[in-house]
Amino acid sequence: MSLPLLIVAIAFTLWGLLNMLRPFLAQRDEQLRFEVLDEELREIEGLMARKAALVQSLRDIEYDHQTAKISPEDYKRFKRSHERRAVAIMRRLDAIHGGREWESHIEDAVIARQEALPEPPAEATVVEDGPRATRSDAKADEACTECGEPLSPRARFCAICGTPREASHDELPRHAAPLTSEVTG
Amino acid sequence: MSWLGSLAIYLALYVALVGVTMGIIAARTGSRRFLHATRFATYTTFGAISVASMVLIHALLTHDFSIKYVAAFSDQSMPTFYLLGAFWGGQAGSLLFWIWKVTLFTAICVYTNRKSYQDFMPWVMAVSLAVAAGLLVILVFGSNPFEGYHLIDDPTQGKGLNPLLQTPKMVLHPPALLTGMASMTVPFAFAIAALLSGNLSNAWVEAARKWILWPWLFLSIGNILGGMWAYEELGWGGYWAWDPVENAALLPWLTSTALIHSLLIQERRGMLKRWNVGLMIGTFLLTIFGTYITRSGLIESVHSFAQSEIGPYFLNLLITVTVLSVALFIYRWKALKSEQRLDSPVSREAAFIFNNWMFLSMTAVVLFGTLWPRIKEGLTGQDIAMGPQWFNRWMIPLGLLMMLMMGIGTIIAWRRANWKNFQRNFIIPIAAALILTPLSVGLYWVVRGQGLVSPDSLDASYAIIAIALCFFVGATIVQEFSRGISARRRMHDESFGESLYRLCMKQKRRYGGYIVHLGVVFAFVAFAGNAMKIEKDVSLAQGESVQIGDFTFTYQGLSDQHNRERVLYSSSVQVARDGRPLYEMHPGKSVFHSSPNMPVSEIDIRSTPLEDVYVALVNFDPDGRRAAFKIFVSPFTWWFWFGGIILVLGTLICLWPTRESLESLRPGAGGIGRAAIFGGVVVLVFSPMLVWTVESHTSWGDSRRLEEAPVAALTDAPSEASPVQPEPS
Repeated sequence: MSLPLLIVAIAFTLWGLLNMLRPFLAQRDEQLRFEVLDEELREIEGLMARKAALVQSLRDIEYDHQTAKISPEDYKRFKRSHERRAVAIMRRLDAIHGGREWESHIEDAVIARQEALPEPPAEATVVEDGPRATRSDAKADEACTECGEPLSPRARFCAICGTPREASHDELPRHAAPLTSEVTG
Repeated sequence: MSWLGSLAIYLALYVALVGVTMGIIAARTGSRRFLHATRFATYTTFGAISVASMVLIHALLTHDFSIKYVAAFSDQSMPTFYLLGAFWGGQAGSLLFWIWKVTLFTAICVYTNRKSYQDFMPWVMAVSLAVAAGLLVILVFGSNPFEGYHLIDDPTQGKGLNPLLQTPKMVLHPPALLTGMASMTVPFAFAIAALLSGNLSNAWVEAARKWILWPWLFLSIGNILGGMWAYEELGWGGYWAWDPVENAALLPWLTSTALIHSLLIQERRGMLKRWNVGLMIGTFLLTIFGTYITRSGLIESVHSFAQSEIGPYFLNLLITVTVLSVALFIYRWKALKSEQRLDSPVSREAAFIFNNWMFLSMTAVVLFGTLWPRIKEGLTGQDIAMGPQWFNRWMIPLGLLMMLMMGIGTIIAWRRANWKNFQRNFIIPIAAALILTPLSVGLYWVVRGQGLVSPDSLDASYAIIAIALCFFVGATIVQEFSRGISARRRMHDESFGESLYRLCMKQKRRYGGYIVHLGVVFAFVAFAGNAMKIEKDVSLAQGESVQIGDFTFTYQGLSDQHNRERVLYSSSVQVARDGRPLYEMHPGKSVFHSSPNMPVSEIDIRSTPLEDVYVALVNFDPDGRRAAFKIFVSPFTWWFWFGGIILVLGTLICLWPTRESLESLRPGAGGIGRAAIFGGVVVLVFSPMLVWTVESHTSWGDSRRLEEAPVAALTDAPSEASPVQPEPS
C-alpha cells in the first residue's frame, strides 16, 4: 500500500517541479504571456468577493431584525448603508462589463489578449499595447447608439444609459446572469 | 530507501526557500509568472514532504531497521495500526508529520484561492513556505528521521513503541493535535500577508475565518482524545490534570476560540482590528511555544517521553517569528485603526469583547501556572508545584463567567440593547434557568444523589451555578433554533426536520456555532458533576468489600497470563448496589517485556450518562491475596465526551462547504453526494461515542480484552514474580 502511494507522491512532486519551472523555461512569447496582467479582471474578482460578503451581511441583518437583536432604527440604517455599498459595487461591475457573463467574459478576454500578443521578435514594449489594442477595437466596433459609451462584447444594454444594444447583433448571452443567482444562494 | 527520504526533505527545503523568494517577488512586482511559479513551489514542497513521509511509513511497515528512527520506535511484533502510529510516535517523525500538515494545508489553501485574493496570496504563500522552511531546517539539521546506522551496528530488532502509547486513542491524539498546531500556519499567514501588503481591510478576516476553524477543530479533537487517553490509561481518574503539556495544547485553543469570536465583530462592525491581528500572532506563537515546551523538556510533565535535543532550535524559531511579526505589527499599528467605536457597554459588541477578555484571562492564568514554577525555581532555587487546585481556583469562576457571556452574547442586540430586546430574547432563558435548575437538582438529589454525593459547600454552589448556566445557555440555543425553524416554516411550508436541515445548511456559521455552544453546555454538565466526584484508595484482601457512595466493591481474585509481548495481571471486582450485584469489573496491569519497569494500567470504566465507575488496579501481592485499587465514582463524566462530539459536529457544520466553494473545487458537484457525505460524517463523528459505550459495557474496555488463547511458546516469558512491588503501607 505504501509503495504505490510513494510513487504517486514522487509523480506529484515532479509535476509540481515541472510546472514551477515552466514559466521560466518556456519560449519567450509564452513567458510574456504569463505577464499579461489585467487590472480590470483583478478588480472584477475583488468586486465579486466584496459583493458576496455584503450579501451575506445583509442576510444576517435581516435575521437579526426578525429576532429583535437589532433596533428598528439600526436595522434601517445598517440595511441602507449595506445596500448602498452593494449597489455601488454592482454599478461598478456593470460599468466594467455590462454586468453579465463575467466569467466567460474573463475567459474570452484572456484568450483575446493572448492571441493579440506579438510574435517573439517583438519586444516587451509591444506587449503593453496588446490589451489596449483589443480595447480600442471594441470601441471602434460597438458603441452605445444613445450616449456613445463603448459597449463590452457581451453587454445587452449600455451600462451607462440602459439603451438596449441593436438587435442585429447576434452575440447574445447563453444563459442567465449570475448576479441574481448569487443573492438567493 | 533512506537516501530518497533525505533527498526529499533537502529538496523540500530548497524549493520552500526558492518559493519564499519568488513569492516576495510576485507580491512586490505583481508578476503573474512568479505567482504561478510560487503556487507550484507550494505544491512541490508538499509533494516532496509527502515523498519523505511515504518513505518513512514504508520503512516502518517493512521493518527497515537500518534507519535509526524505525529501530527506535517500532519492532516486528507491532500490528500495522501501531506501526502507523510510530510515524508520529517519535520526535523526528512528529516533526516531519507537522511539516507535512503545514504544507498540506498551505497547498489546499493555495488551490482553493487560486482565483481569489490575488493581492495577498503571494504573501500568504511566502509566509507559509517560510514557516515550513524554518521547520525543515530543524528537521534537516536537528533531527533527520532518515539517519541510518553504519553498516556494522545495523540492529536486527527494533526497540518498540512506548507501551503507554500503544492504544488506539494515542495513535490518533498526536496527529490530531499536530494537525491543529500545523494548520494554524494558514490563518497566521493571512494576517501577516495583510500586514505586509498593507491591505488592512476586512479581506484578510474573510479569508482567514474559514481557515481558523480547521486548526480549532483539530485542536479540540486532539485535546478531547488526549483527555480520553489520560482517563483510560494513566489511572488518576480524570481527563485533565493541568499538566504543562496539556496546558500548552490548551493555550492556542483558548486564544483561537477568542479570535473566532472577535473576527466576527471586525467583519460586522470594522472594530477590533489591532486586537485580531495581535491575537492571531499570539495564537501562532503559542503553538510554537507549546512545541518548545514539549520538546525541550523545559518543564516536567506526563509527556516526558517526547523530550529531545531540538529544544534550542525551537527557541530560535520562536524568537525569530516573534521579533519579525511583532515588528511588522508595530509598523502597521496606526493603519489598523478601528472604523467604529463601541456605542454602548450593553451590546453584542461589548459582550463579545468581554468574552474575549475572559478567554485571555484564562490564557494568562494557564500560562502563568505553567511557567511560574519554572521561573521561581530559576530565581530562588525553590521548587514549587502548581497543582490542579490552584488552576481550579481560577479557572472555575472564569469558566462560569465565560459561560454566562456565551448565553448573553447569543441573544443580546447589536450596537445598543434596549428593553424590547430584553423582553423578546432574555425572558424565556432566564425563566428556564430559574425553574429548571431547582427542579433538576432536586430530582437528582431524590433519585440518585442522596446516597452518592456529599460535596462541600463551595463545590456544590459552583456545581449548581454551572447547572443553572447550562439551562440558561441551552434555552437560548433552543430559542434561536425554534425561532429560525418557525420563521422558515411560515415562509416555506416545510416539515420540522426539513426546515431544521435547511436552517443549518443556509446559515452554517450561525447554527453550526450554536451547536458548538450546545457541546460546551454538555461539557459543563460534566464539570458540574466533577465537583461531586468521590475518590478512594483502598487495599482489599480477597473477598473483602468496601463501600463507596452507594456502591459496594468486592475484590474476588487475580489471574495472570503470559504471552510473547507481556504479562497481563487481571483482577476481578464485584460491584453491587443496595445488596444487589450489578456487574463485575476487571482492572488489570500489563508488564511489557520490552520495558519491565513501566507497567501499564488496564483500567476498567463503566460509563453511563448518570455516572462513571472507575477502578484501577494499583498494586498487588504476587500471590494475588491482596490488592490495592484506586476507585472513583464520578457523576456525569459521560457528558464531557458527548459534548465533545457535539462540538465537533457543530464545527463540521460551520466548515461544510457551500455549493459555490464545491464548484470552485470541481464544477458540477451534486447535491445527493453532499447529503450522503454529510450523513457519513455524522455517523463517523458519533462513532467514538459508540466505541466508548461498547468499551464501557463489554470486556473490550477492560483487561480481559488482552487475554488470548494461551500461546504455546511460553518459554521466553519471564517467570519471576510480579515486577510491581507491593506498596509499603
